[in-house]
Amino acid sequence: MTYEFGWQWRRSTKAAKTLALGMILTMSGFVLVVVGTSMFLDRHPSQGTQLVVLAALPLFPMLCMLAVVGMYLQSETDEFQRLVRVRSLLGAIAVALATNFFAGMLRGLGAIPSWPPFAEFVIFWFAFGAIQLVQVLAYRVRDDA
Amino acid sequence: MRNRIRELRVERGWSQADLAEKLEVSRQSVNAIETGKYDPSLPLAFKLSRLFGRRIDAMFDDGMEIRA
Repeated sequence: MTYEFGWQWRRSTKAAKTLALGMILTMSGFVLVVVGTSMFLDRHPSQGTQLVVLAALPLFPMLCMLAVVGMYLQSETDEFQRLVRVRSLLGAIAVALATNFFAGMLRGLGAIPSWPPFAEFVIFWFAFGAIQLVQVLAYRVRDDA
Repeated sequence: MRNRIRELRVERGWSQADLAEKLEVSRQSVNAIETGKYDPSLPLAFKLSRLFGRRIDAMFDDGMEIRA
């Protein structure tokens, strides 16, 4: 598995490597900002403009994440790999929206309690990863006949 | 779409990795094209055409016949 990953990484396009590194950086940034903001708000309860600014902080790494994906789509030279990632994105959007709508209906009817913050965001990226994995397995190269 | 990419590649003694390198795509892409799971865009089809020295319609067959 490690060998397979190493091979995949070496054979990845420059755009795919940039995407992977960009995602690691922006996801780490997102977690740091969310945890940092939450800790700050726990210790220094805020109101008004300060609260709005603090609540908006996690937007930046999240928008950076989408920008990284956008730059990848623009710079990827391997059209098949680009198609695979676009499919993953569309699938993830479908899963996140469907989950949000369904849970929203149940919440509206009082059938379930409210979800933890950023649940849809986490669902989106998990779905992206899962769909990506399914496609990697579907298009797996086994031999070189 | 059916194609003769695998046949043309094997004729030249190239591996999928060799062809992928010449086309500047992943081996996964070459495999998907060869197995008909993915039809390449026109620019990539032209690249294949130049590489193999064949016309595009001699490499790809969409199963349609032109009627006069």
